[in-house]
Amino acid sequence: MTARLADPGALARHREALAAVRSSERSVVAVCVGTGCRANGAIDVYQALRAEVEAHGGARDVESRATGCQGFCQGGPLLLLFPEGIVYQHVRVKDVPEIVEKTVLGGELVERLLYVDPPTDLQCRREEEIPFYRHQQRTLLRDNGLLDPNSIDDYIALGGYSALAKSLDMGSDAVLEEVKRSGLRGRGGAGFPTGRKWEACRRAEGELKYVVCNADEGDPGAFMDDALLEGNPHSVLEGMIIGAFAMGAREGHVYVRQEYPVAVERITHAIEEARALGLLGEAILGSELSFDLRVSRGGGAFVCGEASAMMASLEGRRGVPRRRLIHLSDKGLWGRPTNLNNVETWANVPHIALKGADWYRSVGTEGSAGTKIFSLVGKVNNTGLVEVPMGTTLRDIVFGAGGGVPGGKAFKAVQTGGPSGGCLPADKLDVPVDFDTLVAEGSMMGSGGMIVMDEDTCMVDVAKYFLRFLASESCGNCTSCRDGLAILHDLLGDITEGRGTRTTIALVEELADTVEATSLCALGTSAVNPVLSTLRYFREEYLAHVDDKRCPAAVCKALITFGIDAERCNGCTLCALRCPQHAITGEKKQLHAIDQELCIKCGICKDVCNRDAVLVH
Amino acid sequence: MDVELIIDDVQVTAPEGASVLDAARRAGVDIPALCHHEAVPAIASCRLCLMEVRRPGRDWVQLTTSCDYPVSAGLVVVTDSPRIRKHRAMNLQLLLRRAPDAPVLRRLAEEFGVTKPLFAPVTDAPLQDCILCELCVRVCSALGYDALAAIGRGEHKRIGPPFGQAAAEDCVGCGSCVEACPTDCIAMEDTATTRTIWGRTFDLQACERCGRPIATREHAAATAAATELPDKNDGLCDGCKRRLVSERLAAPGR
Amino acid sequence: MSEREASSEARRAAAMERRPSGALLDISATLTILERYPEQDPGELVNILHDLQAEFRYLPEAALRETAAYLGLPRAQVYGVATFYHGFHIEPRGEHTCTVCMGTACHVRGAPRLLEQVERDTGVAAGATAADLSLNVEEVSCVGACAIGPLVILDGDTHGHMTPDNLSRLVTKLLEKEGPE
Repeated sequence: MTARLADPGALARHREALAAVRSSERSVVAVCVGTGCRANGAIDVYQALRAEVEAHGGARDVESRATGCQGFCQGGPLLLLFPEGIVYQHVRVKDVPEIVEKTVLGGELVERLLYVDPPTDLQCRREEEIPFYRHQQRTLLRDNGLLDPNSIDDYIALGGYSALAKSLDMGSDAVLEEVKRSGLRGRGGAGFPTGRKWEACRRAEGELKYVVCNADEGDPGAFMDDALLEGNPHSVLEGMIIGAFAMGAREGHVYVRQEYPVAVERITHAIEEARALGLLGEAILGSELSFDLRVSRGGGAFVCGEASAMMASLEGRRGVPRRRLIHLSDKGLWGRPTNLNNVETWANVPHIALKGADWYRSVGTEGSAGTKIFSLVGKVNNTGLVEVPMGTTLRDIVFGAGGGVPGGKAFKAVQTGGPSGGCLPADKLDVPVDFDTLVAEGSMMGSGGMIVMDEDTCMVDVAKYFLRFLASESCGNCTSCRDGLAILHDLLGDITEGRGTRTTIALVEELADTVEATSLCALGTSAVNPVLSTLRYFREEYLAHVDDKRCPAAVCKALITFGIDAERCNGCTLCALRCPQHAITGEKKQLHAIDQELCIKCGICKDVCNRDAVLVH
Repeated sequence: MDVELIIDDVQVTAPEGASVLDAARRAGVDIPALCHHEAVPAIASCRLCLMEVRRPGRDWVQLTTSCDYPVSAGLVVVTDSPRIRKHRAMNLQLLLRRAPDAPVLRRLAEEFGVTKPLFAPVTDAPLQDCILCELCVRVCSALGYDALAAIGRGEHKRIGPPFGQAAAEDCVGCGSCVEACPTDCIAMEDTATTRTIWGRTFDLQACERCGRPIATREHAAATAAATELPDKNDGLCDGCKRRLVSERLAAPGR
Repeated sequence: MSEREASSEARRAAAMERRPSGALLDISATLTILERYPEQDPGELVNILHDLQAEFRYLPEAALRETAAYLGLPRAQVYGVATFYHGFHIEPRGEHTCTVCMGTACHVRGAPRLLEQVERDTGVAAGATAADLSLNVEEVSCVGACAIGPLVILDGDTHGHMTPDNLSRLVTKLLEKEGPE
């Protein structure tokens, strides 16, 4: 067991010692066990790998490693081999013996496991060859594939905590200046200049100050912070320690949503490891900095991603936001100066401290420096985490890294910024993405969720979905938000169920206006963005619903009917067998028919039909 | 330390720490507010007390609530404008949906031109006419009883004793919540000798002289315990106490 | 006996006194959990509730009362917090759990149909528990596995690329098995 690191010299020596033991010739086989791959059976693959390597007696020269999310979720379970950098996708337990024998020990490729780039049909061997990765600049996520998140030594061996050592040497003033100059803006959604926030906390009066990490990540479809916490928890910790140093904070919290139990485990373990090495606690690395952290879990409330609601939660109260005329940097947690930043924001800090503000500014745009991790999901081929410089276009993200829309369907919209954001149509694909451009177009960056929608997505249904989510997450304090959002959801329900009229739309707009203008916190004020942006860019779809009682995307149940195509049906009876309402009749090998009175539009018949004979009008 | 600000073009002086709502009311400007009470912290729930405010040195005007906005030097406040009326009217519509018959809401509706309800009234709420302003909860807590809880969140938030109890175990029957409630939705029934509220029936102590009910035994005991004074009721209601004092003062030989 | 042990014993005795007759709650287990945290520290309330729920699978009233006493908080506050957060359950829960992810990505891939299917099959709506305590149906907004959406989690096991038909079969199988501990 390594002893406490007494000073930066000890840290450097420890790193050297680790390098000496870790031969660069050594093979490392990394299996991604991030949430997505884990859900896809990656743990079994990892265990099979370990067993196989053991069996070959190769454990000495081959290291099996379970890593955090690599971002390429569509290809999961993912297996990478270093130092070659070979990437295998969709790996199953039964593939493992072949992989170990042929590739790890034999140096040959198992071609069927390689990623094939659809337009060129070319096999990609290494990460850099895969378009998904080629379009990215993985500053924050890169190490996810290279380290075991449960090992602080892996992190240190890769250079971890050298940013902290450098910061302690620079002095807190210089660190603060560097973060200010870097132009780093909060990655949680608001994009507030981080340096300015830090300075406010530093200047605030009070002996005891707190730093908080917002890992509540409530936007549905966004899992960047989960990937960082699960895959490289020390990168976040190091950022927080540097921040505590710069601001004069002594205590901190990492607030993790309760839906992320693995992230809670990883960050808790990382904190224990850091403490054991003296990177947390008294006199860190022999400096004047004394700082320690606690992990707090959320209870299941999206609103607690809002800073003041999070602090209420940390104080054992209901997560109700409060007005912020007095900044939280002056009076936050327990009435004391508090600096709250998002996970990804904290993860940027060690890079800035180590490589400097000028380096940081060299990436991204004038107003938004650095990279951003986007969670690219929905109707897109390469679902996963995409890290790109700010200023990359939506097109590059969705069609470049994302590989476009599956099934030959037409792109319809991309929703950014989570429930607080808006939907942008095809003619906005060339917008370079940064904080300000997205706001100008009626959306926002938010935490980085990017949901791709195609011609089979009904935008009215999407607006309704977001309203339902936000209405259920409203803390209930404000009349405008609590009751306004519930009614807006009902009104959208009227529209999707064929009861809507032009008056309904007018009422939606009027009520949305008041919800936006008079709600206390950003949940309420931005809740109207999805419905207002879809009304702005997809108004004709709303009008079809109210004027023609028609859902152009064939989604809204009350406005569609299911029928069977006489040309294609071969009477296999599969649909009739599976129909939960027994609404389909037909003789074997004869055309089947759906009884409209009984049909509940569940869509099972369409799912099971092998002949594409079920039509939806 | 007093603060100078401008409300509706009039210079107003207010004590530091006061809210703009308080300052306005003191200056004779009535801003409607249902969830507000001087004795408890503001939560800005009803969203009626809207104002437009500009901070000194800025040219940007903010539409916001006034009950939870502390006064500061040089604030410029407007309490009435088309924008304020428009949004106040819509929030009134939302409140009327929960409490269609509450007199105060009907008065405000008339005053602010809300003639036709836009939304069908809520009829299945656990407490009819409750506008979820939490005044009862805050008042009860300020008095130290904490008998009522805000339960759940969002549209399904409701007020009641904790644990879904039919009878509020920490209630002392003081009736302060009833006094505070803007829509009069808390049921309290007094007889000559009992009070029934929040599922509990309390015995009312009667005045020894005139026989009228004073307070519940529990309330009297809690007040005595809180003030550390001897049971100050002396078994008399306020009126009879005053009469007793007058009698003693008027007695011959004094 | 140390001072700490003495106060712990006193606490247990008092709690046993308080315990409503007939209550099944394991007071000792409750206090063991509470005593992992400093007394009178309201900041630990949510963490405590998580631990209690992990122990009892829901938050029994008696446990909430003991928590309020331990932390020096009004019962109304503890109850208000327990009911505010959707992660906490104040009613006894079913043996099995079917969680449908209703995150945006899963929604766009048809998740609502999955929820409808479960409700059709079992009569249990999202957020509810079967009357016979066999099943909880939950919806959650994004677990971070969007690539395999729409997905459901059945007793902790994640199943991706779900269809209503497949889900129907899986739920039937689930209910036939023994529940997780």
